[in-house]
Amino acid sequence: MNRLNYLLRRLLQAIPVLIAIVVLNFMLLQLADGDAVDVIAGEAGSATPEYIAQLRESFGLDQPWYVQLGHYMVNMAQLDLGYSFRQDAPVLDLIMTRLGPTLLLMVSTLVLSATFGCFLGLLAAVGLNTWRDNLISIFALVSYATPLFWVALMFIVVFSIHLHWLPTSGMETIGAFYEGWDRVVDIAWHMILPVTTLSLFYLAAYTRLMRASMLEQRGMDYVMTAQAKGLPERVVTYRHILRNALLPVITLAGVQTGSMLGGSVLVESVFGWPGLGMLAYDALFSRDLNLLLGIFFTCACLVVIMNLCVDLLYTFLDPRIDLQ
Amino acid sequence: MSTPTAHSTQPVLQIKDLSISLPRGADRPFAGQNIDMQIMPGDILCVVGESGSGKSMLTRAVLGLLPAPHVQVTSGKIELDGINLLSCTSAEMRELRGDRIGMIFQEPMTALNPLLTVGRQIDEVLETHRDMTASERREKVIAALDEVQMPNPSEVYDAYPHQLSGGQRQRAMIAMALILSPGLLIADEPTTALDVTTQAQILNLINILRKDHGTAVMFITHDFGVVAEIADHVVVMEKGLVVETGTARDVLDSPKHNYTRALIAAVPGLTPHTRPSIKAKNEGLAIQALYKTFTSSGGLLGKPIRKVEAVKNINLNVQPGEILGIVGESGSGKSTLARLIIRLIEPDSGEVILEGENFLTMNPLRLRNQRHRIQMIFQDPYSTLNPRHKVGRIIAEGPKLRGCSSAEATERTNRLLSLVGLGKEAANRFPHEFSGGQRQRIGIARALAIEPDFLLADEAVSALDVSVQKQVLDLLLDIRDKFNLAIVFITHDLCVAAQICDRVAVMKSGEIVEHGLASDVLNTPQHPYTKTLLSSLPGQAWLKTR
Amino acid sequence: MKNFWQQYSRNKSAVFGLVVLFALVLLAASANLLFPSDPFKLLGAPMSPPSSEFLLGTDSLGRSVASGIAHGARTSLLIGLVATSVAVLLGTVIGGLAGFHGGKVDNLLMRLTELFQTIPSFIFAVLLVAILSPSLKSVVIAIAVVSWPTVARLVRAEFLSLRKREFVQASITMGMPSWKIIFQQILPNALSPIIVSASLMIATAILLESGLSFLGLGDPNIMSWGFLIGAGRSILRTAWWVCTFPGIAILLTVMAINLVGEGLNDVLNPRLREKDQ
Repeated sequence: MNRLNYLLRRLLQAIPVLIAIVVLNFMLLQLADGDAVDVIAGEAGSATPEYIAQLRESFGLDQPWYVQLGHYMVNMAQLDLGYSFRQDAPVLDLIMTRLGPTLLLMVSTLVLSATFGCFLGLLAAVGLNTWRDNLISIFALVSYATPLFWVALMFIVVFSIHLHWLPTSGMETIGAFYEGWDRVVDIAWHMILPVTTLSLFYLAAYTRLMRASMLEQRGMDYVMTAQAKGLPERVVTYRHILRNALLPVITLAGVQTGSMLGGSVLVESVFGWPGLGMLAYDALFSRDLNLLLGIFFTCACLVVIMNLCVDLLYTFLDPRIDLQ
Repeated sequence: MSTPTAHSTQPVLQIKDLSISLPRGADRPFAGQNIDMQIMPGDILCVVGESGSGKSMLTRAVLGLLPAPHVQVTSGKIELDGINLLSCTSAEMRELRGDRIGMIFQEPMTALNPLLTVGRQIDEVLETHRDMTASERREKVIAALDEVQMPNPSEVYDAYPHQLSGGQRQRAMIAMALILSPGLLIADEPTTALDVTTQAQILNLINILRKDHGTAVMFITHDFGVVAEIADHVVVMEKGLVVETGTARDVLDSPKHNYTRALIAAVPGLTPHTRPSIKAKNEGLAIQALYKTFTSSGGLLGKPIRKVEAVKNINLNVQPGEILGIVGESGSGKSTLARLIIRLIEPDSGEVILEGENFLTMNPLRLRNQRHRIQMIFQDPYSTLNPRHKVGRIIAEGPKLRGCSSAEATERTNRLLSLVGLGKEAANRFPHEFSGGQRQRIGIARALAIEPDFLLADEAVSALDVSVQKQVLDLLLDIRDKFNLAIVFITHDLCVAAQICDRVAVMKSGEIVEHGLASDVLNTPQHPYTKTLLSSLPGQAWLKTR
Repeated sequence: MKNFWQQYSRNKSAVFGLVVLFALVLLAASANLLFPSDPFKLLGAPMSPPSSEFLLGTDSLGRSVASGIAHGARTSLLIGLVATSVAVLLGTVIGGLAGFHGGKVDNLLMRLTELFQTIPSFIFAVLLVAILSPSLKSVVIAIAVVSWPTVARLVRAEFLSLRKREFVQASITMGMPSWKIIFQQILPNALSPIIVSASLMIATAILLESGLSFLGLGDPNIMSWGFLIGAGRSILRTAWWVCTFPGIAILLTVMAINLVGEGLNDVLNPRLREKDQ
């Protein structure tokens, strides 16, 4: 019950953040050339003049900016993110159809990179300064320094073009219309390259942090206590050091959500993965700023939700969190 | 002093000709050299030494937990019940640790894993060394917690370390160390981080338990009061060498080695020094009705607001040429009081009157011009000086702010450096080239350079070894006379207060519970809290003889 | 200074990083000498593979990849350096104000910083450049705007802890004016972690820039590595070299800067080094 209250309180604390992001969105709209309606309707007259006139009126563009902001916020509060004339659909609908694939990509990446990253970091820290540690550290260094989109292209060259092992793009084989289990396998097959690409970079971050965190925890006093109790090294490492070392890694998982969404724009656009990132890429090229702002807002919400999840996870892992 | 109980004639621990090497680049080649000592069952052996004497490395060597390969035993023997620990495999050592050797540490806060319950952490000892069912183990852990006089042992079993007080955590550590009744308990400064009243309880507990279990105790300390309170035998270490060994009585009352003699001579006694009392004139510093409450809030929607009344209705005054001591345990509000007086934090209400003017209501400009009149000497010699500035610049800064020319400031710097016992050449060196005691002297010189009327010393000697402590106290007395300064001296240490203060005020939970001449307060305390503080002082029988 | 080099050179990989970085700076500086013609100029047959004439081949329009890489090095290093400087300046001012003043100022500035950390940074950068229209200036602004919160948090933490240090308190009790306390007492002691994080941030900025120009959001008049890769994307099947070599250039640069940053960290923040032993 305490935990639920705590979560509710955290949720309330997130509201000002969301409001601030809406205000930021509004400011970005103001920053763009032309008035908000030009932006919202997109360029090149894909909306009818009548509609534009009607929009101008409903937005009250002759009104002072704070009234406009008020209108904007009311619309956002009703989840009315506007209409995309390029795609001829409400922005919210467009985003909802693309959310699933992006979440699939994100969650797979998160699980994969966090698990392997912790494992590699642990391995490196346990065998400090051995060839294993050096190899892992070099691997982490290189994959941390490689641009995501380039890895994606190189993977396509090697695994799709030369070896013909994996599909180059998309989420499903076009025209195959698989059902049930076959469909799952097909999607999984298409996922391999994008997920691996995105994971490589974050894997490096987790590995480095985990290694550093393990080394830091190993110098703590309680480790000496555990050793003085006569516990086997294995128990000292896994029961005592590992659990403490994991906490900063979990924090990182929350912090990185935003960056991962950014990475998915690049990766999805290379692999043609039909998610938010791909939608953002298309919006960018059709100068559909309103759609882009909608995606931006959705991504910020995802980060807030992810941070809440991390907070919740922390209440289970760290008894020092005060639930009161 | 307690009488040794003679269970058997065989020593539990015998260390013969032990040498421990330090890595290259350390300030000396050995952490310990040719160390000999032994402990009989039920005996307490105090290993005494100042910081850097190698006493902590010795405990690590006995446990087989030296930070190899940097620090290694190069020769000698460590025998536990006749087994040479140095020839044991690491698996064999693991069997012995926790079962035959128990250990407690200085910092009970960090010595326990924050993520596991106290019960679980004690249970690990049983789980590792004994074949018992879970319920048997739980029962035994609760019994062990009960034995260390832990309140509500079965609740504490499921508590996390952060939910316990410092003293309770140390009790839990003791329960963990002694649950299998090991023949040897190693205690590395186990009461140094605790308040004096808690320290008395923990010392008492160790004393009882070693008798009940017949445990030999190797007790590392730097505090001769603790030695006098608890030791049967004493080993004195200096720079890795054992310089004196003997019974506690012999070493304390008739030390043979020069180093021991100097150390003991430097220990402040409890006899207050007496000076003709100073007539209250109206030219000092007067603190009137000072209040400060800290409120912690988690912001708009955060945690409920918590209030701590750190300083409540303090009224004090101090005259030129006088030292006023403010004594209290941690959390008594004494440091807050110091920072209020010098206006590093703003009070809720109250006055600090300097020659008829309230220091606490001066406007920012006037304040900046008047600040020099009250100066402060800080606690931590390692953070008191800006590590990036040379000592000369650090001292000359104040005079320059007051409008001195560079030549004047340099001249004053040199004069003060020699006054605090450092040469002129110290001005061209950086703080890290000096020892802790020397840095405190530089801090004093910095405070004096700006020609204050009042000095505020906040635990100014607490971080120093006793021998250095004495020198700094003497220096303070010296400058009080030379400059006719009024000094407010804040300390947790009654003995230090006895050495230097003319008057003493005892603080508890933000209030002054007793206030009077040092000799009155320390010899005939009136308030029950002052009485508790004094009776908690370890080794007071011995201290009073000095 | 001599001591600094002695300690720095103890870390072999940091020396390697410095050598690579130096070579890159040299390449960037001599780009006009080595490849005097405009990198956008069509010099040869489209999509010719690496040969003696075109060391790293040509792209779909016949532009030299090698020339693009040399000129791109200037862009990457320049944007990395300038954007990081702006971000560090902004972050230091905001973090410093928050940490020095504490209380309400701190609360307000930290809420702002947290807000900027919640925002998905790359998408925000994309939005900013799209709105400001792609140019060198808008790319620098976008990168700086998404990068400063890291510096601000670091500087705030340093200032908060240094402010409580006794030597700073001593300066206050002497009556030293605030600006002197900040610039003479606090800032010099906070400099090492700022330098280390700034050096690592250059690497991140270069990655960000390459991502932006890969999406076509770079300055259209300036050659950059990300642009080269983006341009080579459509001919990936036939001309692998157009994408491959600029990517290796980015990889090498970012790695070298990371290594140098770690080397600086070892020398400037020795506490961590001891722990590693």
